[in-house]
Amino acid sequence: MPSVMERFTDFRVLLVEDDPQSMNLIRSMLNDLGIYQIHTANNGLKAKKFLEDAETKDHANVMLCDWNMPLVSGIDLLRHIRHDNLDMPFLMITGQADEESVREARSAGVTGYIRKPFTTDDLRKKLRIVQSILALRSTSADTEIASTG
Amino acid sequence: MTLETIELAFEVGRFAFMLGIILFIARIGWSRQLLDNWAWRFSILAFLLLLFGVSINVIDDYEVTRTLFNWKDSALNTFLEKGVGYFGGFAFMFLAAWSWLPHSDALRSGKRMAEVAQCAAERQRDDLRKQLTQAQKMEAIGALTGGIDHDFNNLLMVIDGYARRASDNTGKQSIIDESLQQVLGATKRATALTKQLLVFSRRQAMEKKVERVAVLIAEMRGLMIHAAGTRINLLFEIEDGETCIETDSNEFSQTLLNLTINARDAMPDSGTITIASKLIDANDDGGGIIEISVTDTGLGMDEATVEHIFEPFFTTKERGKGTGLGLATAYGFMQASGGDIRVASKPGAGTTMSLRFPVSNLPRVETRAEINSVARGCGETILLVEDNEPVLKLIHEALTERGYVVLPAPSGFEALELEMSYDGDIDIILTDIVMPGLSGIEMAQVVRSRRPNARIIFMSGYTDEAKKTGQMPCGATFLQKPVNMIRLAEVIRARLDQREMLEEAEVVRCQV
Repeated sequence: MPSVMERFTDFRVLLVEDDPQSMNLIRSMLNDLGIYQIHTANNGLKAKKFLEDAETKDHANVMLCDWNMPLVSGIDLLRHIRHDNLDMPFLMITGQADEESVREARSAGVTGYIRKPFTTDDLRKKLRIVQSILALRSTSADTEIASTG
Repeated sequence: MTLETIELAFEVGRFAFMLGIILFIARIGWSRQLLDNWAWRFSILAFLLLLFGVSINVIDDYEVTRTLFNWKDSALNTFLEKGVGYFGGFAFMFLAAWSWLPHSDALRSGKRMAEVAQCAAERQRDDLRKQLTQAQKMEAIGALTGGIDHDFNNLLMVIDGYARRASDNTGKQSIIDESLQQVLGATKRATALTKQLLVFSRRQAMEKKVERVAVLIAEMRGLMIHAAGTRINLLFEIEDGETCIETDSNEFSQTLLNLTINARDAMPDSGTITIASKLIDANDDGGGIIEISVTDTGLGMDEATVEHIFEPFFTTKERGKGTGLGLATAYGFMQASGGDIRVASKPGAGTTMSLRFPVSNLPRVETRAEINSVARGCGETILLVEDNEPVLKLIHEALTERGYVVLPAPSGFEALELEMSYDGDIDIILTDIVMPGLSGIEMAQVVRSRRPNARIIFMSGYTDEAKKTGQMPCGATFLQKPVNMIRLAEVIRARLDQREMLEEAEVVRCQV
């Protein structure tokens, strides 16, 4: 599906995953969807640094993050970046899909979830929604710039 | 020494002693300036004269005086000699008394102490004044929260009581119906109460509409009977059935209820409250003034109380019973309604509070009941997004019951997922605004970009934030939370029918 691949080209993904195998799998899935601007972090702390560093922080516009990680979990990271007023779409990859944790993530400001195990097609559906959000935000940002300028 | 001189000395001594006492008593009133300057100068002068006078008298035969001043032995001479003696004796005794009195230093320190004391007293007075102001403020807040507490508890009691009554009488439809009506009424009042708080804190604008006075009072009838309690007899004398006024029905109800409660509280034992409405000053063109009065047969008020009753926080009720805001609010409401509020009262003869409204000739909008009968769905699809799960469930059920197909989502992202996978039309997007992650506004815009015909209704508890963003899509409707299901159904129906009946709901108008 070339059109789909075309559509995701403006995606710059920060992928946070502690399991190397999963990381590779997701990366290849993203590649399949036409996404090649992928930055990775194998723990929450590195992701935090990536987002705080002035040089790198604009390198990602979407976050794809595993929930279950040692030290800084996905939800900790989510809370941290929402606390810093970063409203970038944040997709949580989760194996534990019980209602309570979903509720927790929701109130922490998660954009959406992908339940493990997932296929490329599942990912595509989620990313399509993310894309519509990104598109909306970029147009409204343009309008704002136009109106202020 | 002659007898005359001794007599003189005695006389002078007595005189000076009394003067000393007078001075002693009077010294507190003397200024320090006077003590320091005038008194001391006077004393020294007097002492010198004393020495002079005494020395003359001691010489006895006045030779020195005569030689010195070349005086003749005459009446004038005697007077002068005696006068000098008098004066000297007086001054001597004055000084004696002065030395006997607390000394100048002590006096001065006394003065200083007095000044310090005065200063401290002034400071204390200022402190007390501040404390009093603070205490009054605290009392106001206490009374306010106390009153609200009280009102809310009453409402909870009503809801709880009737819900139990309904569940205890599962077989009896009439009891259940009546109980449910009471519960609905109480929740409506609770909503109005929070709204009143908002009015208090945000000075929310009144929502004026043309309303029939008779209907407004009839709607309040049950509540007023309830408020009056069983001890009190409630009479309704509603004269004119068709007269309309332009008012905010919630505030009107609140005012009427306040007056009824005041009337009840003025009759601790029993009595009668008469609620009357009559046209006064009716014009030929249909205008005029309608007076709605609440009369009690209670204690009445004296003039001093009547003078203050419209002042905020003025209350004659015991602490926690009244906020002192009821009549102040009523006064403000009547001012805003273009009418006025009057009071007639005499101790022991009861009180009449009258609300006077100008009669409105504007056409009346449809009543709620009229809209309600058609506020049903015909299988239209509503995408419902609400992050509060109980609210989501409540609205979901209510709308399904009314014949809509509801796609419920607990977050913006999930709503978009639902929307993407849904093949049919989506007629209405009904969404909360403030949600973590993806806001209702963004979500709705994304959906609208794909489904331009979908109508958007936003619900939010935060009016200001929602409006400030300025990002609300054109033509979207805004509903202030809490929304009751009837109102929601009305608005949805109106949006579907593209009707312009949205009274409370605000339609976002865009400047292109």
